[in-house]
Amino acid sequence: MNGAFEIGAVSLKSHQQALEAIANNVSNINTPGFKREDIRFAEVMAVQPEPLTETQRRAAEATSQAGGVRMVSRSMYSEAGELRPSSSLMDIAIDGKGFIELIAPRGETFLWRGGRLSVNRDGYLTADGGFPLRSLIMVPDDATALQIEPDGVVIALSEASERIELGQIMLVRPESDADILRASGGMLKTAEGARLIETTPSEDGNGLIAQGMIEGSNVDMTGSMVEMLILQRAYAASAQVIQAADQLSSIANNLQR
Amino acid sequence: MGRNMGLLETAAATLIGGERKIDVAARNVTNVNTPAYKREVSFTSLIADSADYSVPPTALPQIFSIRVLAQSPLMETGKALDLAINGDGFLLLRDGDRFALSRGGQFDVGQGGTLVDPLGRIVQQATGGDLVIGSGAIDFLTDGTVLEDGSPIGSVGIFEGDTSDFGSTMTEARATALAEAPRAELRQGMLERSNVTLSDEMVELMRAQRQVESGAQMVRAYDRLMNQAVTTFSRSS
Repeated sequence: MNGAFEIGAVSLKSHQQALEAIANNVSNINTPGFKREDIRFAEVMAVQPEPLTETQRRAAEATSQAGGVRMVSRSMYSEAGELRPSSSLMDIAIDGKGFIELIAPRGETFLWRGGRLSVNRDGYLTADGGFPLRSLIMVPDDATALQIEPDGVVIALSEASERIELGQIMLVRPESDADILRASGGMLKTAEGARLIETTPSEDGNGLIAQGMIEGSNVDMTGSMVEMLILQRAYAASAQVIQAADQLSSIANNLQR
Repeated sequence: MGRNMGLLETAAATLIGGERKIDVAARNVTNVNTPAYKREVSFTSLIADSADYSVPPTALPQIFSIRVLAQSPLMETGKALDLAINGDGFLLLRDGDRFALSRGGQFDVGQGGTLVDPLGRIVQQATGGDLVIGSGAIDFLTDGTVLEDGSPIGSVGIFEGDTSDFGSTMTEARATALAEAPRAELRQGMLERSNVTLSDEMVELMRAQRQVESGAQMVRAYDRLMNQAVTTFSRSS
């Protein structure tokens, strides 16, 4: 069978996956804290490792070699989105590369880039989705407002305008972006066995905590559109290759008439 | 009869040659967006083992393909782990116990702080061994030196290679014997474009299709010839 069929099919599949990744990015352009997926193409080589004998070399030349392209997507977690002021003082964002660690069910660890804080029934600070912060900050019932310092220190203001320090929100960072996985519900979780480096905010480039701010998505609209056009053209060209391979087979089929 | 056998074999070689050319074009088209991809060109070579044209050549046309290693333009991406090479040189990547040459691409931090390409192959140091980086800010100098937060932590190897080394894997012995490329520069935050031109590849596809068609015509001509011979002789007997 003609290798161009397989190569073309692999190419169509890779380009389709790439288009899907870009579509997902574009549809999340207004999702706070969304991290875009970057697409990467790598050549897949089907070249035999140094044929040893002359016979093997000739055999390798005589058979058609497949190969093609592989699409790999990577989420750009370390690229921060733009920080925008929000209407609520319970919104926090991280101005840096760190994450806030959350306690997830079944002993998992979720990573959070910030968003809307709330207080759960037990009085602990929780993230969206109701997951408590690993730093376990207990908010007293009589607190009227919370003040979060850039270094993560949480201060409760009571009606008598007393300031009570409740604790400090710590930031974490996995050793590598490859340790971050997407979990259900748009949350991020750490891979099994991944080691987290815990620091106070501002240490080790983890960044500061910004109260009353929301992190926008890091999707670049114009870049995504251009990428989409380029991918579409490559997709069409791959389809042409398959058509050419098909015509070849048709010629071969019509040899005997 | 000898001549006719030659015709059929030549026809078959023409058919297979066209098919092989389409394979090559397919690989190129597929990698039109792959950074630092080097396109393949196919060519036919006919080696007759005798200069006597009264007998048909026993050697059939063979299709070879070579990589065009010419530099293509670099494009700015601004990403710290995108690497490209300006000039003649290659990065050495380790894939298990095999090695391969690369013109650069989009790298990532893999297991244990190694620098890996999208296929998981590990970038090698100039002195041999995997390059390991930390979590600080990484800078690559044009000579391959790697700086983390301003202090040197290693050096990316830039090696000399040729078309026979590129596009296939090599053993450790071959990899360690590679000479360093003195005039190539490493560029950080840049990617080398694929040197595939879609229009060229489409023309190549059309040309290969016509080649296959002419091969098919040859087979038909042979068939008609044989048919004529059979009918003529069966009539005369």
